[in-house]
Amino acid sequence: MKHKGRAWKFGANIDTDAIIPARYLNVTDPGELAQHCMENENPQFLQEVREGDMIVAETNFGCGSSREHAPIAIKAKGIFCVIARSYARIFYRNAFNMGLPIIESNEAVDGIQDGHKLEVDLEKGEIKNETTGQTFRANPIPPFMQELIDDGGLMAHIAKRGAV
Amino acid sequence: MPQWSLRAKNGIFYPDDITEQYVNGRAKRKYRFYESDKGAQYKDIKEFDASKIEPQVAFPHLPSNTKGISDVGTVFVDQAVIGSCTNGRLDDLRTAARVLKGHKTSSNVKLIIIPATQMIYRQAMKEGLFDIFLDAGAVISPPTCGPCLGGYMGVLAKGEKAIATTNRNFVGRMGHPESEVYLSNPAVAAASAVLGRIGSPEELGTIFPSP
Repeated sequence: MKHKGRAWKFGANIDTDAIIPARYLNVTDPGELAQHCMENENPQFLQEVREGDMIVAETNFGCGSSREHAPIAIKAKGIFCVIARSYARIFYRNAFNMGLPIIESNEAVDGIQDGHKLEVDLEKGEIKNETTGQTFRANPIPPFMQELIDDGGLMAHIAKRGAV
Repeated sequence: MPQWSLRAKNGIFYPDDITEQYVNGRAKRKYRFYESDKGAQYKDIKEFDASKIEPQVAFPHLPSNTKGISDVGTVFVDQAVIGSCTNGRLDDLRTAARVLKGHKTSSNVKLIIIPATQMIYRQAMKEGLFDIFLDAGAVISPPTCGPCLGGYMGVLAKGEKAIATTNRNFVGRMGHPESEVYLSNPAVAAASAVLGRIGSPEELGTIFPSP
Protein backbone atom coordinates (compact mmCIF):
# COMPACT_ATOMS: atom_id res chain seq x y z
CA MET A 1 0.00 0.00 0.00
CA LYS A 2 1.40 3.36 -1.03
CA HIS A 3 0.96 6.49 0.95
CA LYS A 4 1.66 10.14 0.14
CA GLY A 5 2.47 13.00 2.46
CA ARG A 6 4.85 15.86 3.24
CA ALA A 7 8.09 15.58 5.20
CA TRP A 8 8.73 17.36 8.50
CA LYS A 9 12.45 17.31 9.22
CA PHE A 10 13.77 16.94 12.79
CA GLY A 11 17.28 16.67 14.24
CA ALA A 12 19.05 14.06 16.33
CA ASN A 13 18.06 12.82 19.79
CA ILE A 14 14.45 13.98 19.64
CA ASP A 15 13.44 12.85 23.13
CA THR A 16 10.08 11.89 24.51
CA ASP A 17 9.86 15.19 26.44
CA ALA A 18 10.17 16.97 23.10
CA ILE A 19 7.55 14.74 21.50
CA ILE A 20 5.10 15.18 24.35
CA PRO A 21 6.20 17.27 27.35
CA ALA A 22 5.85 15.55 30.72
CA ARG A 23 3.33 18.11 31.95
CA TYR A 24 0.72 16.45 29.74
CA LEU A 25 1.26 12.91 31.00
CA ASN A 26 -1.92 13.07 33.05
CA VAL A 27 -3.79 13.31 29.76
CA THR A 28 -5.11 10.05 28.32
CA ASP A 29 -7.13 11.38 25.39
CA PRO A 30 -5.04 10.91 22.20
CA GLY A 31 -6.65 13.94 20.55
CA GLU A 32 -5.66 16.17 23.44
CA LEU A 33 -2.13 14.76 23.50
CA ALA A 34 -1.86 15.52 19.78
CA GLN A 35 -2.50 19.21 20.48
CA HIS A 36 0.86 19.36 22.29
CA CYS A 37 2.96 17.08 20.09
CA MET A 38 6.40 18.73 19.54
CA GLU A 39 5.06 22.03 20.88
CA ASN A 40 8.43 23.14 22.30
CA GLU A 41 10.50 21.52 19.58
CA ASN A 42 8.75 22.97 16.55
CA PRO A 43 5.62 25.11 17.09
CA GLN A 44 5.17 25.41 13.33
CA PHE A 45 4.78 21.64 13.08
CA LEU A 46 2.03 21.80 15.65
CA GLN A 47 0.17 24.46 13.67
CA GLU A 48 0.68 23.29 10.11
CA VAL A 49 1.04 19.52 10.07
CA ARG A 50 -1.56 17.80 7.92
CA GLU A 51 -3.14 14.37 8.17
CA GLY A 52 -0.83 11.87 6.50
CA ASP A 53 2.40 13.93 6.78
CA MET A 54 5.59 12.19 7.87
CA ILE A 55 8.35 12.88 10.35
CA VAL A 56 11.91 12.50 9.06
CA ALA A 57 14.58 12.60 11.76
CA GLU A 58 18.23 11.96 12.44
CA THR A 59 19.60 9.41 14.96
CA ASN A 60 18.17 8.15 18.26
CA PHE A 61 14.62 9.37 17.71
CA GLY A 62 12.40 8.84 20.77
CA CYS A 63 15.13 8.64 23.41
CA GLY A 64 14.15 9.18 27.02
CA SER A 65 11.14 7.88 28.87
CA SER A 66 9.23 4.76 27.95
CA ARG A 67 6.00 6.76 27.88
CA GLU A 68 3.59 5.38 25.30
CA HIS A 69 2.12 8.89 25.15
CA ALA A 70 4.89 9.74 22.67
CA PRO A 71 3.89 7.43 19.80
CA ILE A 72 0.22 7.99 20.69
CA ALA A 73 0.63 11.77 20.32
CA ILE A 74 2.45 11.41 16.99
CA LYS A 75 -0.15 9.00 15.64
CA ALA A 76 -3.07 11.08 16.87
CA LYS A 77 -1.51 14.15 15.24
CA GLY A 78 -2.12 12.35 11.95
CA ILE A 79 1.47 11.42 11.16
CA PHE A 80 1.49 8.41 8.84
CA CYS A 81 4.95 7.17 9.72
CA VAL A 82 8.33 8.21 11.09
CA ILE A 83 11.51 7.81 9.04
CA ALA A 84 14.80 8.12 10.95
CA ARG A 85 18.40 6.94 10.90
CA SER A 86 17.82 5.13 14.19
CA TYR A 87 15.47 4.93 17.17
CA ALA A 88 15.83 4.59 20.90
CA ARG A 89 14.92 0.99 21.51
CA ILE A 90 12.00 1.49 23.91
CA PHE A 91 10.39 3.96 21.57
CA TYR A 92 10.89 1.59 18.66
CA ARG A 93 8.82 -1.15 20.21
CA ASN A 94 6.39 1.30 21.81
CA ALA A 95 5.61 2.74 18.40
CA PHE A 96 4.66 -0.65 17.01
CA ASN A 97 2.70 -1.49 20.12
CA MET A 98 0.70 1.68 19.58
CA GLY A 99 0.28 1.04 15.86
CA LEU A 100 2.59 3.79 14.58
CA PRO A 101 4.78 2.61 11.67
CA ILE A 102 8.42 3.66 11.91
CA ILE A 103 11.20 2.88 9.48
CA GLU A 104 14.97 3.22 9.36
CA SER A 105 16.77 4.58 6.34
CA ASN A 106 20.00 6.59 6.23
CA GLU A 107 19.70 7.37 2.54
CA ALA A 108 16.16 8.68 2.91
CA VAL A 109 17.19 11.00 5.74
CA ASP A 110 20.10 12.20 3.59
CA GLY A 111 17.89 12.87 0.60
CA ILE A 112 14.80 14.44 2.16
CA GLN A 113 14.40 18.08 3.16
CA ASP A 114 11.67 19.80 5.11
CA GLY A 115 8.50 20.08 3.05
CA HIS A 116 9.45 17.52 0.39
CA LYS A 117 6.60 15.40 -0.93
CA LEU A 118 7.03 11.71 -0.25
CA GLU A 119 5.45 8.46 -1.29
CA VAL A 120 6.04 5.55 1.05
CA ASP A 121 5.44 1.85 0.52
CA LEU A 122 5.85 0.22 3.91
CA GLU A 123 5.59 -3.37 2.72
CA LYS A 124 8.28 -2.95 0.10
CA GLY A 125 10.35 -0.68 2.30
CA GLU A 126 10.42 1.96 -0.42
CA ILE A 127 10.47 5.72 0.05
CA LYS A 128 10.08 7.95 -2.99
CA ASN A 129 10.90 11.64 -2.83
CA GLU A 130 8.44 13.09 -5.36
CA THR A 131 10.03 16.52 -5.06
CA THR A 132 13.45 15.32 -6.22
CA GLY A 133 12.51 12.09 -7.98
CA GLN A 134 14.88 10.01 -5.86
CA THR A 135 13.92 6.63 -4.44
CA PHE A 136 15.32 5.23 -1.20
CA ARG A 137 15.38 1.81 0.40
CA ALA A 138 14.43 1.12 3.97
CA ASN A 139 14.45 -2.17 5.79
CA PRO A 140 10.99 -3.64 5.29
CA ILE A 141 8.99 -3.92 8.50
CA PRO A 142 9.27 -7.53 9.80
CA PRO A 143 6.02 -9.51 9.21
CA PHE A 144 5.16 -9.81 12.91
CA MET A 145 5.66 -6.09 13.47
CA GLN A 146 3.56 -5.38 10.38
CA GLU A 147 0.79 -7.51 11.91
CA LEU A 148 0.85 -5.29 14.99
CA ILE A 149 0.47 -2.21 12.78
CA ASP A 150 -2.33 -3.79 10.71
CA ASP A 151 -4.22 -4.79 13.84
CA GLY A 152 -3.89 -1.28 15.28
CA GLY A 153 -1.30 -2.01 17.94
CA LEU A 154 -0.36 -4.65 20.49
CA MET A 155 -3.54 -4.59 22.59
CA ALA A 156 -5.79 -4.83 19.54
CA HIS A 157 -3.55 -7.57 18.17
CA ILE A 158 -3.87 -9.65 21.33
CA ALA A 159 -7.61 -9.01 21.58
CA LYS A 160 -8.05 -10.13 17.99
CA ARG A 161 -6.46 -13.44 18.87
CA GLY A 162 -8.87 -13.92 21.72
CA ALA A 163 -6.25 -13.77 24.45
CA VAL A 164 -7.99 -11.05 26.43
CA MET B 1 32.15 6.29 45.38
CA PRO B 2 28.59 7.42 44.81
CA GLN B 3 26.84 5.55 42.09
CA TRP B 4 25.32 7.07 39.00
CA SER B 5 28.25 8.80 37.35
CA LEU B 6 28.49 6.63 34.27
CA ARG B 7 26.00 6.08 31.55
CA ALA B 8 25.05 2.56 30.62
CA LYS B 9 22.08 1.07 28.87
CA ASN B 10 21.96 -2.08 30.89
CA GLY B 11 23.87 -3.72 33.71
CA ILE B 12 23.81 -7.43 34.41
CA PHE B 13 25.70 -8.74 37.41
CA TYR B 14 26.26 -12.19 38.69
CA PRO B 15 24.28 -12.34 41.95
CA ASP B 16 26.57 -12.62 44.95
CA ASP B 17 25.83 -13.38 48.61
CA ILE B 18 24.85 -9.77 49.28
CA THR B 19 22.31 -9.95 46.47
CA GLU B 20 20.90 -13.17 47.86
CA GLN B 21 20.65 -11.62 51.32
CA TYR B 22 18.74 -8.73 49.82
CA VAL B 23 16.36 -10.85 47.79
CA ASN B 24 15.74 -13.34 50.55
CA GLY B 25 12.70 -12.21 52.48
CA ARG B 26 11.82 -9.52 49.94
CA ALA B 27 10.96 -11.63 46.92
CA LYS B 28 7.29 -12.50 46.84
CA ARG B 29 7.80 -15.32 44.36
CA LYS B 30 10.28 -18.14 44.14
CA TYR B 31 13.43 -16.82 42.55
CA ARG B 32 16.19 -18.38 40.58
CA PHE B 33 19.70 -17.12 39.90
CA TYR B 34 20.97 -17.50 36.39
CA GLU B 35 24.60 -17.84 35.47
CA SER B 36 26.54 -17.89 32.23
CA ASP B 37 27.26 -21.22 30.58
CA LYS B 38 30.66 -22.61 31.39
CA GLY B 39 32.95 -21.65 28.55
CA ALA B 40 30.55 -18.98 27.27
CA GLN B 41 32.01 -16.84 24.50
CA TYR B 42 31.67 -13.06 24.70
CA LYS B 43 31.45 -10.76 21.73
CA ASP B 44 33.71 -8.23 23.36
CA ILE B 45 35.37 -7.72 26.71
CA LYS B 46 36.25 -4.25 27.95
CA GLU B 47 37.77 -3.46 31.30
CA PHE B 48 37.43 -0.13 33.06
CA ASP B 49 39.05 1.11 36.22
CA ALA B 50 36.18 3.07 37.74
CA SER B 51 38.48 4.53 40.39
CA LYS B 52 40.26 6.48 37.66
CA ILE B 53 37.10 8.13 36.31
CA GLU B 54 36.24 11.41 38.01
CA PRO B 55 32.58 12.24 38.76
CA GLN B 56 30.72 13.20 35.62
CA VAL B 57 28.15 15.94 35.14
CA ALA B 58 25.65 15.74 32.28
CA PHE B 59 25.03 19.14 30.74
CA PRO B 60 21.74 20.12 29.13
CA HIS B 61 19.99 18.63 27.30
CA LEU B 62 21.20 15.04 27.00
CA PRO B 63 22.29 12.54 29.67
CA SER B 64 25.24 11.57 27.47
CA ASN B 65 26.45 15.18 27.20
CA THR B 66 28.94 14.78 30.04
CA LYS B 67 31.99 16.58 31.39
CA GLY B 68 34.28 15.59 34.21
CA ILE B 69 33.66 17.64 37.36
CA SER B 70 37.00 19.40 36.93
CA ASP B 71 35.92 20.68 33.50
CA VAL B 72 32.52 22.02 34.51
CA GLY B 73 33.54 25.66 35.01
CA THR B 74 31.22 28.03 36.84
CA VAL B 75 27.58 26.98 36.66
CA PHE B 76 25.32 28.58 39.27
CA VAL B 77 22.28 26.57 40.32
CA ASP B 78 18.91 27.50 41.80
CA GLN B 79 17.94 24.03 42.87
CA ALA B 80 19.47 20.70 43.81
CA VAL B 81 17.50 17.45 43.77
CA ILE B 82 18.94 14.37 45.44
CA GLY B 83 17.12 11.08 45.05
CA SER B 84 13.99 10.01 43.15
CA CYS B 85 13.84 6.51 41.67
CA THR B 86 17.41 7.13 40.56
CA ASN B 87 20.11 7.62 43.19
CA GLY B 88 17.60 7.58 46.04
CA ARG B 89 19.05 4.53 47.78
CA LEU B 90 20.05 4.55 51.40
CA ASP B 91 23.72 4.61 50.34
CA ASP B 92 23.05 7.68 48.22
CA LEU B 93 21.39 9.47 51.12
CA ARG B 94 24.28 8.54 53.41
CA THR B 95 26.66 9.95 50.83
CA ALA B 96 24.67 13.19 50.60
CA ALA B 97 24.53 13.42 54.40
CA ARG B 98 28.27 12.97 54.65
CA VAL B 99 28.80 15.93 52.35
CA LEU B 100 26.09 18.11 53.92
CA LYS B 101 26.96 17.51 57.56
CA GLY B 102 27.93 20.75 59.23
CA HIS B 103 27.03 22.83 56.17
CA LYS B 104 24.10 24.98 55.10
CA THR B 105 22.74 25.08 51.60
CA SER B 106 23.47 28.30 49.73
CA SER B 107 20.78 30.94 50.23
CA ASN B 108 20.24 30.85 46.46
CA VAL B 109 19.53 27.13 46.31
CA LYS B 110 16.58 25.03 47.36
CA LEU B 111 17.60 21.48 48.12
CA ILE B 112 15.02 18.74 47.75
CA ILE B 113 15.76 15.24 48.98
CA ILE B 114 13.63 12.34 47.76
CA PRO B 115 14.22 8.88 49.25
CA ALA B 116 13.38 6.27 46.63
CA THR B 117 10.99 4.22 48.77
CA GLN B 118 9.05 4.35 52.03
CA MET B 119 11.43 1.76 53.48
CA ILE B 120 14.47 3.88 52.64
CA TYR B 121 12.65 6.94 53.97
CA ARG B 122 12.14 5.23 57.32
CA GLN B 123 15.69 3.87 57.48
CA ALA B 124 17.16 7.25 56.66
CA MET B 125 15.04 8.81 59.38
CA LYS B 126 16.13 6.20 61.93
CA GLU B 127 19.77 6.71 61.08
CA GLY B 128 19.47 10.40 61.75
CA LEU B 129 20.12 11.46 58.17
CA PHE B 130 17.04 13.66 58.21
CA ASP B 131 18.50 15.74 61.02
CA ILE B 132 21.54 16.43 58.88
CA PHE B 133 19.36 17.28 55.89
CA LEU B 134 17.08 19.55 57.91
CA ASP B 135 20.03 21.28 59.58
CA ALA B 136 21.42 21.96 56.13
CA GLY B 137 18.12 23.54 55.11
CA ALA B 138 16.84 20.80 52.84
CA VAL B 139 13.25 19.88 52.09
CA ILE B 140 12.59 16.16 52.53
CA SER B 141 9.97 14.80 50.20
CA PRO B 142 8.07 11.54 50.28
CA PRO B 143 9.11 9.13 47.49
CA THR B 144 7.81 10.67 44.30
CA CYS B 145 8.55 11.55 40.69
CA GLY B 146 7.76 15.18 41.62
CA PRO B 147 10.33 17.56 40.17
CA CYS B 148 12.10 15.00 37.97
CA LEU B 149 9.58 15.51 35.19
CA GLY B 150 8.34 18.92 36.22
CA GLY B 151 5.35 17.39 37.97
CA TYR B 152 5.18 19.43 41.16
CA MET B 153 7.41 20.80 43.92
CA GLY B 154 10.59 22.20 42.46
CA VAL B 155 9.22 22.91 38.99
CA LEU B 156 11.80 25.20 37.39
CA ALA B 157 10.91 28.68 36.17
CA LYS B 158 12.25 30.26 33.00
CA GLY B 159 16.03 30.54 33.13
CA GLU B 160 16.45 28.51 36.33
CA LYS B 161 19.08 25.81 36.62
CA ALA B 162 19.05 22.65 38.66
CA ILE B 163 21.56 20.00 39.49
CA ALA B 164 19.83 16.68 39.99
CA THR B 165 20.62 13.04 40.55
CA THR B 166 17.59 12.09 38.47
CA ASN B 167 18.20 10.47 35.12
CA ARG B 168 17.04 12.80 32.38
CA ASN B 169 17.76 16.40 31.43
CA PHE B 170 15.93 17.02 28.19
CA VAL B 171 14.53 20.42 27.21
CA GLY B 172 11.82 21.42 29.69
CA ARG B 173 12.19 18.22 31.65
CA MET B 174 11.93 19.89 35.06
CA GLY B 175 9.64 22.74 34.11
CA HIS B 176 9.98 25.69 31.76
CA PRO B 177 11.42 24.88 28.32
CA GLU B 178 14.08 27.53 28.96
CA SER B 179 15.23 26.04 32.26
CA GLU B 180 18.24 23.73 32.49
CA VAL B 181 18.95 20.45 34.25
CA TYR B 182 22.44 19.15 35.01
CA LEU B 183 22.81 15.56 36.19
CA SER B 184 25.34 14.31 38.71
CA ASN B 185 25.88 11.84 41.50
CA PRO B 186 24.53 12.59 45.01
CA ALA B 187 27.89 13.80 46.41
CA VAL B 188 28.30 16.41 43.67
CA ALA B 189 24.65 17.48 43.95
CA ALA B 190 24.98 17.88 47.73
CA ALA B 191 28.21 19.87 47.41
CA SER B 192 26.63 22.05 44.70
CA ALA B 193 23.67 22.82 46.98
CA VAL B 194 26.10 24.22 49.54
CA LEU B 195 28.38 25.99 47.08
CA GLY B 196 25.55 27.53 45.05
CA ARG B 197 27.25 26.33 41.88
CA ILE B 198 28.19 22.96 40.50
CA GLY B 199 31.17 21.74 42.47
CA SER B 200 32.94 18.82 44.00
CA PRO B 201 32.59 17.55 47.59
CA GLU B 202 36.34 17.94 47.88
CA GLU B 203 35.85 21.70 47.82
CA LEU B 204 34.03 21.25 51.13
CA GLY B 205 36.69 18.94 52.46
CA THR B 206 34.84 15.66 51.94
CA ILE B 207 37.02 13.07 50.28
CA PHE B 208 35.69 9.87 48.68
CA PRO B 209 36.04 6.97 49.06
CA SER B 210 35.93 6.90 52.83
CA PRO B 211 39.40 6.66 54.34
